[in-house]
Amino acid sequence: STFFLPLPFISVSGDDRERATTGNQREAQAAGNSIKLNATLKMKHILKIMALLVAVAGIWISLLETSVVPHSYTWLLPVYLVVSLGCYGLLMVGIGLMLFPTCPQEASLLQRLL
Amino acid sequence: MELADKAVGFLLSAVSLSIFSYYTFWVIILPFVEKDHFVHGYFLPQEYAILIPVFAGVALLSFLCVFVGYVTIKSNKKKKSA
Repeated sequence: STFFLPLPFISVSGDDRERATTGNQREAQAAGNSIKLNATLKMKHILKIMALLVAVAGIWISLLETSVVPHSYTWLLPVYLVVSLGCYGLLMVGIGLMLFPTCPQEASLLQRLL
Repeated sequence: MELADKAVGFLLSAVSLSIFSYYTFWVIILPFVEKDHFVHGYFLPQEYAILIPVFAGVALLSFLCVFVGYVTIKSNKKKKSA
């Protein structure tokens, strides 16, 4: 099963790794292909995010240079972006904690095994 | 216990949402409000909007470096004595 938190680069997929460790060669190749596909998709996602960042930086610098925004406000946008990124990370951690599934049946099974 | 986990998660998300909304209001909306409005009393002067996050970030980074250095030194000492 795949468990994907909205944090862009973090995803845990158990079944890809399971498929890669089976002895069957065709399954191993298919697993390798799916891992490669995963990696290229992540690369495109990273490029999209970097392009967005460059666009925002370009807009901010153009606003500064044409004196729409006074120069004392230069560092406002980067600091704001960093603070909002930190808040977003904390929010995702909090939401993940809240939604974390506990499996009471499996827990009681494990207790019985122990 | 799941209830403790859920409570911690809820607290964390509430804190992060409140920090984000306070900071957004401070930085983006407040400059467009006239100087006599009462709401200006609830927010620090604008220079602090940049100083406080930078100061907190520097403090966090230095704490991380000190922690990593401390753990490294402790593990090196253990390797030497063992």
